[in-house]
Amino acid sequence: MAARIGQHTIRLTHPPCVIAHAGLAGKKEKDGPLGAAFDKTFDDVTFGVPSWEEAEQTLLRTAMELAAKKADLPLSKLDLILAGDLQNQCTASSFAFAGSGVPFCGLYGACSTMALSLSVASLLLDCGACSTAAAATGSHFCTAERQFRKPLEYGGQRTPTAQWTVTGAGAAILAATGKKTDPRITHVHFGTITDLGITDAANMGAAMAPAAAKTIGDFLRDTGTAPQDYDLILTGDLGFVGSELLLELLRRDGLNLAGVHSDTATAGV
Amino acid sequence: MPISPAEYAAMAKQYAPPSTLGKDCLKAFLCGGAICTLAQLLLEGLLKAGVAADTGRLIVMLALIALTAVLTATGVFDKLAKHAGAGTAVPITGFANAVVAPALESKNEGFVLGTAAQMFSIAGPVIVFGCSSAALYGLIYFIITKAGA
Repeated sequence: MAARIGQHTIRLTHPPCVIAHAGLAGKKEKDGPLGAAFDKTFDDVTFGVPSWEEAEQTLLRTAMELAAKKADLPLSKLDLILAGDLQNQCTASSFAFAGSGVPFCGLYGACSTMALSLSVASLLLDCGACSTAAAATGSHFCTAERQFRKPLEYGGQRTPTAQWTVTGAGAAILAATGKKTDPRITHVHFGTITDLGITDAANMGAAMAPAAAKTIGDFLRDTGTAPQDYDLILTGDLGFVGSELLLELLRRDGLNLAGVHSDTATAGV
Repeated sequence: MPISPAEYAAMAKQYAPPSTLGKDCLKAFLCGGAICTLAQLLLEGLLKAGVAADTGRLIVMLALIALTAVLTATGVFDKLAKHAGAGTAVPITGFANAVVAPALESKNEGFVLGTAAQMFSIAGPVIVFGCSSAALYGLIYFIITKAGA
């Protein structure tokens, strides 16, 4: 059974294994710093379907099928799929896994959906509610623009801090037991909502950095560990501006993440 | 050490790269100027061909709207506007693009509830404030001219 340590951290007694994972992305991501890390990238992000929403579903479904194939597990054998995306009512993931015959738990955490789905899946595996579960998330630049910003053909200018929503999907298959070399999820920490009042929607890095700093700080305090105890401390979506701010905020908190921290934009640290 | 929102706002500003204001202004000036020159040339041509000034101005506006609609639909306008900024947004081209872009985007939500309903999602405020201020100034003008008479 999972046990709470410190104030907000949960230590898993039976840490589940990530037995397989898959990552797919579009053309812009292929040209980015993580380009070589994806299983597959697509130059044509329409996927030959009539709408962007459907393209995102295709991307999610394909990522999940690839992960299941790598795990050598038929998709129908999964106990639960935990997934989410950025569309209204998580339509992309709902439709992506509608025909799978596997129970589905839709989650919404926006930029944090992957961590959220992995966390919830780990807790369910730890307590024995599932023996295999999949965690997944996806987004498509063209659906996110419509959902949160302006129509694609609208002629506007981006500010220097504006970020670009990923066209891609990731899926991980988790199991209660696995190979010795499989990565395991040992702790789960749900962050507290932290808002330092950034209202510029085109500066998401600055808006999210305080929450990331609080989560990392709280986790390190709860576990009694130091940044240097880890090979890598990863964040996603903070970008260059958000990463700088994260390091600065933690430095003020007496924590030095330099050389240990990496973000999507600063991959390869 | 807790940090106040004001302190953090200053810190975020310090880390954010600034806009290239000089370059942006120059590009906006050149593109906006080019659009206006094109419109003026068209008007001069129409006037030379014997079209009345009022009709000529109307034709020029319609031509710019039509051109913008075509460039928006073919995916050219947003690429141009990325550089031009206010240069394409301030002339009537900006307004035309703001109507055509959401209309195209909402096509797969249906003709009535998609295209027609979403068409003014960006341009709507401009129309609301444009019509309201026109009515207000019209009223002021009416009162002044009545009082003067």
